[in-house]
Amino acid sequence: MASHGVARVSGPNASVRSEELRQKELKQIAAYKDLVDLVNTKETQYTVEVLGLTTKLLNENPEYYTIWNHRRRILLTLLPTGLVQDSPPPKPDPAALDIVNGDLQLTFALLRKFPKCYWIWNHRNWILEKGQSIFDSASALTLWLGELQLVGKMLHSDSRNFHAWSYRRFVVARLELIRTRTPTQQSLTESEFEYTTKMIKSNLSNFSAWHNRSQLIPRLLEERVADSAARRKVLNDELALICTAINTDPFDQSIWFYHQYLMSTLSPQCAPQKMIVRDLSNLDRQKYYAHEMEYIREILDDETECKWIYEALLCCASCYLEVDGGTEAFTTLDMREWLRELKRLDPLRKGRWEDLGRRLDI
Amino acid sequence: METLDGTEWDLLIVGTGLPQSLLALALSRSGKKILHIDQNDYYGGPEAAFSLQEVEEWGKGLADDPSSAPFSSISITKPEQVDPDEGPSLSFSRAYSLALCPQLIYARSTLLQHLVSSKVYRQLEFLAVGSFWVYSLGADETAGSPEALTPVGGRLLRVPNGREDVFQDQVLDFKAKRALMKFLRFIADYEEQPEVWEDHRNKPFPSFLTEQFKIPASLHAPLLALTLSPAVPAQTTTDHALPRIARHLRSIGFFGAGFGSVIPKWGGMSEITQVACRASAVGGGVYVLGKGLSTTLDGSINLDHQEGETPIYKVRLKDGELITTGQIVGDPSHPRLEDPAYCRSITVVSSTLDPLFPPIAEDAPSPACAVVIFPSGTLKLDTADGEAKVPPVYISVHNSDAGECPAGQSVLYASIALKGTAGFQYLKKSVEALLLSLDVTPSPTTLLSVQYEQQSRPSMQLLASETDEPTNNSSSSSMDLAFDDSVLDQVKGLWQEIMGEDAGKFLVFEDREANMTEDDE
Repeated sequence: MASHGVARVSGPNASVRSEELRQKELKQIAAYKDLVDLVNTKETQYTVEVLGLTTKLLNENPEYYTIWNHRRRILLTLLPTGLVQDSPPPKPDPAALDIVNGDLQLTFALLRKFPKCYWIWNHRNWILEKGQSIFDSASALTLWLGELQLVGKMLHSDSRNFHAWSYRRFVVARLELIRTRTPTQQSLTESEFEYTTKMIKSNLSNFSAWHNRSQLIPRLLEERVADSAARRKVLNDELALICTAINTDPFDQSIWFYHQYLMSTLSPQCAPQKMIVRDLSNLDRQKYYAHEMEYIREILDDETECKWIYEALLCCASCYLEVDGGTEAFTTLDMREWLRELKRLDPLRKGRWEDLGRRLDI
Repeated sequence: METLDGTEWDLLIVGTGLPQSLLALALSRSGKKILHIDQNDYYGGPEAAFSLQEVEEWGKGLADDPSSAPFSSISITKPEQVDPDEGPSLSFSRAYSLALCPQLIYARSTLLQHLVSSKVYRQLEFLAVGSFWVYSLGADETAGSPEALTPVGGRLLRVPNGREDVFQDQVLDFKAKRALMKFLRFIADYEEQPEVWEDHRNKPFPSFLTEQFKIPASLHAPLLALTLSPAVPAQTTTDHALPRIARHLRSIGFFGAGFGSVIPKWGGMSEITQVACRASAVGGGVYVLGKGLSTTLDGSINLDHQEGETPIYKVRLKDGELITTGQIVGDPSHPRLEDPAYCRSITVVSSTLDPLFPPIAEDAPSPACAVVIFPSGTLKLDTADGEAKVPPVYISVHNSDAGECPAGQSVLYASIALKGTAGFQYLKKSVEALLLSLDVTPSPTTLLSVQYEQQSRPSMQLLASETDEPTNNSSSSSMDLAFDDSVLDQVKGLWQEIMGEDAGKFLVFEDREANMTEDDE
């Protein structure tokens, strides 16, 4: 299994340390502490000099989020005030540009070393939003397209970094906002959807890719102005896709998460804006549930040690019962057996399964 | 040049095939006085690569003197051209570098690591091996009646490299996908699950697949293909198959997404032999081509005297020169009866055969090699009966990126663990079937076909050593489709014997001084 064994870059190894190394480290710690003290005593000084000190400190420890807050206060002081949000300035202020670019560079350099630090992503977010009002729409577009490229590169090196996926959504939203002002630009939803397909094909176990897909589908359908038939097609295609994935690797949890999402869109309790097909009859629902349960049960012929299968069967069964209380597709005895297997395969969660049993009344 | 007669050496190495060349490389910093000879007037021995002219000379040379070479029954065919000015034709001789040993090297093979640590990697270029294909007859749903005697035509099915390939495969049904995935999960750490396969160790691999994984016979072909086993399925043991499949699957992604092995550019393993010999020469080794051991009846190697504990041998060379040396390394001159023989062929065709080389993955290098396997029983000769006993045919296809032929052409290296006319006929049939199964326009024409038989030989060893028994009994493995690391183990073993106590690290060198004139190209 790849990717998630990547260790965070931290200080020197704690394994075998000579006295020399230890002394060196103590000196480093002392220097760091001095720097922290210095920055904190100058807390109320919003000057370029203190900005430089925070840069130094953050380069050593980007996780110290208080310092990022402090930095932002300094930047707010240094950045030109009184910019009206929606109207571009008469001309870009070079000093402001410098500041924004400087922080973009800082966060970029830090992201390469610490791709999963919340505070770095957050700050980059912040600086771009603040910078929005500084740039005119043409350079803003270039900036955001650049961000899309950056996040694409980060996802290329670690396709499962959820920070990057979340940032991607943020960037796409910004680009769409710019687009509404310049209608000639194309919507990104289709290409983003394609992007999730591509990521899944290269690695099925990509929680974030599946999640992003689920976020995009309602928008996709809206933009396509999909009628009932088109919506059903999308639903059927997604169910077929996940069916193939489940049949390929029933042990992968991310696939089951997406399956659960699809099941949730079938439920009568699903919020209208999240529905894929808007005109499902209970008969339709029964057919879908029956089909899902059928092929999942088939997998049990070859694979009896996979807990996700039993969990999914119980989940589908309870959905089925909601729309057809008297179904004969399965019996209470079946459900009890699945619950038993679930307890056997995942004994550490016994309490949870017993709870489930009580809820399902079996 | 001065005569070798009367010269004194620490070590004589006979033959510049891959094992001997790697040994020379390993010894290139040892300071030993090494004489390295080869009876051919080219480097590489059974791993050499030839231009068109060299192929012809090789054919003629072996016809004139069939003696101890592992090759025999060479035939070279150049189909007549209808109109020499129209249509594709062979390019000039040096545009080709046809490999006698077109092996692929798995990413996790220690050979690559050693080429790096010995610093010779800079003189070598490697290209990615892409897809593996299995020729399948199948019941062709669209055509033919069940009673047709000859199937309409086979098609090539790509062998999945892992989960995502299985996911995207359009041919396998769900049950097949699940069974295959179950096996792939097992093979990922099969060493930790001996209870699953211990009892099947020496039993045929197909029965292991059916019994332990419920994989139907129709699905055995891709897994057997990954073993690269030259034997028929019934004789491929589980013990033999599992490590090889694991080697293949564990190598995928090691250098980059989607591929797991590489081929050297410019002519298979010959490049490695040349680079190794060059390094040895830089270290003081003396090279003489066109010089072999004497074949006179009184024997070429004789113990001369002892210098303390070290025996000194007198060796007579082909033209009568007498040299003395402390040790001699070479191939034993006579193949054993039990060493298998293979039929092999090299075919140059006038097409890039693009369908065989789909892109590997985004950002992955372009593939230069594709492997096509014809499982036992998929090729039928009119005269043959009991086709299930026919061994599989392996074809390694190299496109022009490999530097072995000009642009617009490809080289097909085929082999089968069978000798004689039947072997050659199966090879011919496999090449025809392969070209027919591809949708390429204009249809590819054969520009050149070289066929030969190759005898497997016992591997290199210390000759005339103290004990009468050979130091090891294994066969040379230039017949394998993939480089086998055991070759390196043999080289290391000999190197340790030769170097004794102050051996140091095997194939680990520092860069020489910067004023050495080694080109990087």
